[in-house]
Amino acid sequence: MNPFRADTPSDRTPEPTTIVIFGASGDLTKRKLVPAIYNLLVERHLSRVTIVGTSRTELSDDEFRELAKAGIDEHSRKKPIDEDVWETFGPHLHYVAGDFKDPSAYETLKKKIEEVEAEHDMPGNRLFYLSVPPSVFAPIIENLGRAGLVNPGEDPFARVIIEKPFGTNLESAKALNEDVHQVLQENQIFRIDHYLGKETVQNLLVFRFANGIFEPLWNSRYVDHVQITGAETLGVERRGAYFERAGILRDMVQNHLFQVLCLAGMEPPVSFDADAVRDEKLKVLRALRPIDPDNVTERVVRGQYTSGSVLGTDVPGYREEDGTDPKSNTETFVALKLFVDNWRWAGVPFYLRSGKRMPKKATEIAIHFKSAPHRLFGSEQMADLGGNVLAIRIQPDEGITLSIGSKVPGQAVEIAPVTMEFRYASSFGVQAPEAYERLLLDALNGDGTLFTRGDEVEASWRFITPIHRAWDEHGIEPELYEAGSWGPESSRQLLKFDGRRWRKP
Amino acid sequence: MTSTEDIRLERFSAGEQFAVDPDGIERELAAIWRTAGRSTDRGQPVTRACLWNVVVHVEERDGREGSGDAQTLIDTVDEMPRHLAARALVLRTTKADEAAALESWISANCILSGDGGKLVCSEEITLQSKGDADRRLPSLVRALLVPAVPTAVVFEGAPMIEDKTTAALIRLSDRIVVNVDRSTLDDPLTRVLGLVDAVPASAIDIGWLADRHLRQEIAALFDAPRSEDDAKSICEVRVVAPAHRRWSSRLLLGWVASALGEKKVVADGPSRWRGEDLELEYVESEARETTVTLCMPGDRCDVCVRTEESGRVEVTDERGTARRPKEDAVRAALLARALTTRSQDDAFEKALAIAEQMR
Repeated sequence: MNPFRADTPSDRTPEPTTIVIFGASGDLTKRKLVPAIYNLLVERHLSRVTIVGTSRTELSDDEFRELAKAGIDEHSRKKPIDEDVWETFGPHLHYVAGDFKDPSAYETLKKKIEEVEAEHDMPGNRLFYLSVPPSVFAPIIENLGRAGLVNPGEDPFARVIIEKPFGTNLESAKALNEDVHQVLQENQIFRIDHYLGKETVQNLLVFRFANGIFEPLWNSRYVDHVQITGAETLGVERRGAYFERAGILRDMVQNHLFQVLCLAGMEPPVSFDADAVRDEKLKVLRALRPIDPDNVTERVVRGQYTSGSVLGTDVPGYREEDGTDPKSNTETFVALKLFVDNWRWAGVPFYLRSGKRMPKKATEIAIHFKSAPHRLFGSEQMADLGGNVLAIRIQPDEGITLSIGSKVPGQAVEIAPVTMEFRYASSFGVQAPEAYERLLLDALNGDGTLFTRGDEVEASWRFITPIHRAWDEHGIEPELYEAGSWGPESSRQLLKFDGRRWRKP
Repeated sequence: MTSTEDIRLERFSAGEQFAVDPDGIERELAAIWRTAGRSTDRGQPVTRACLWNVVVHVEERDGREGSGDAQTLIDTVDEMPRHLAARALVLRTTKADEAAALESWISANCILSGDGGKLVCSEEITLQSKGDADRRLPSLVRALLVPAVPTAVVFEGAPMIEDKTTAALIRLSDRIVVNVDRSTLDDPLTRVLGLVDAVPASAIDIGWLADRHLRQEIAALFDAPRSEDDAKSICEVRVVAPAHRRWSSRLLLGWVASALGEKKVVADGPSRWRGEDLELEYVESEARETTVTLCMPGDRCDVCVRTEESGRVEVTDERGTARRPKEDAVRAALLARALTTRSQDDAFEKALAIAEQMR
């Protein structure tokens, strides 16, 4: 134990580590990973780190460094690049080309890692980041195991971060989990969902469990329903070919929105320990009432955008986007009505929706509380008031809003909704770190709280896969909606049927 | 049409100070915010935010503890909203032989919110007491604290707890922020240690927070593959720093000593101290930079961490030399950090306990 690190538990600085990035010539490395590591170094959250990049592209160390520097220049939140930091960090970046499926490439990689560790006096801790297509997750991990690069143990440690998607359905997720567990122990695996690295998502735990006043209200006795929205103004951009296979149910709901749902709906964990938190999240997923495949449209709306106008700009329809099938039935919008069948949430619907080409970018959780039990001030006065709503905005303009009814000053008893608002940007002047910074730091520290566990992944697929199957078996086509709208009419009807309506984020 | 109230709000949110009667401060502020509430459809929306009450005590008598560059503290408060929203109460006292008088002003320090749509303001209330009117300050401060948010009291130097006003302010605080390097006393560390032991509010020193990057760099030198034994082999620590950093330099020395397990140090020269296994030295320097040198047995003094005037930190050991930028060390940022839970590290109190012995 470093005696100088004692007594400052809140300053978590991981042990010096070699980060091995698979897919190092790719976009994620340049846009997110290297800038995140650089930012952590500048802010002294990392003491020493060495990077070994690998991919099939032939690059020299110097070429990889140029690529990395350009990525920092363009994408770091700390601009311009600090030449002093780069002078130290740059020489710690190395590269080795290799075919991920070729076992001999791992001997070369191992040799390179050992050389780099010796050159920079590194203690042998390794973090492997798989920024690669899901089809090569299993072969890479198998080969890492064969090469003796990911032995269990904490001193030195070997950990692996796996990017989404983790499987495309329940069967593939199970198979992948089995393959990965052949080589790695669960505490070595960090399945990343960058939503969990966002400040407001983390604040949801603090908000619920560090404040005494909300938790007593956080149940079916007081909550009428919950709405979770993940709306994007963007279309599929350059990811047409990928999205065509995935659809928004896989791309957004199975991972991001389900994680948000879990954090909003889970029971208080016994501690803030990774497994304690993930145990509670898992219970929420397991309590989700399954969708009846024969009546899937009663609880799931499937939509696809047509051409329209978003933020004042004309945009093409999904089927006209690059990389998509002109007859595609891939969904770009989905709305779900879910029930968490447990004591806390009995009978409370959770409405989830996620869509592309929505009128505005907004991710939020809105807890709609029940109306006052007795209309003391008359039906007319209270009709427009609705219940109180607690809205937690995840992005953009992160913050929390509580709407309440208030008397309008004057002789008459007139009630108007007013809001109490907390905005991160107004209250804390500091710039929030990027999600990848937080998650990389957590993985380096061995803290899996904000990562998804294998059984969580399977539980979410167990719910999602039957929906895909039902869509296929019953030939349910997506309902078209105009780009720039809040989705198809059936989405509105989903709530209207229950006497409710979607909130406008 | 723009009303008189709108113009007043506009000038207020632009930072202009308005003289108000001490008894009418809240009333005046409420009137301004009422205007802001009505003005949302006219011009830029203005709102207020507050997470802390920050009481700043500026003693304006030369040579007294807490005197000095009052403007620096006031500028710090003006800059605060960029780092943390707070209601600032600036207490300026000149006791001398003047007739008792209490004057007050209100103003606002505003920033554009993240999305640029709204002006978010922190209120600033200045109370100027002359003669013995300072005895009225604590009761006025108590009335002006925003309810249900914590209160920090900021002192230049070490608080003179025997002073009635100071003692009263400390009693109402949840956090005490001191700046021992600004002290005119011979024993500011002893005073702060006494305070830490005597009051429930936690105390933190601005100089200690400013040196966080130095401590982090020193700690990083002893991460793996170096072992605890490597750290424990340090036999001498030397801090070279300008005179105005002499007290925070002792805190640095105290921190190294406490981390290495020392409990007690004794004087071994004018600015030298000796623990059980460790020698400590403070060397006053003309230069503005601070240098910490760690020596191993055999006069191996090649581990060195040095701040530079350019805002860099240079770290040298046998691996070579590396330079990194210092953290944002503007005083407002440090003050904001003093008000987070992260500032409450045990290391400060342990360092203080040893530094206090370095008289």
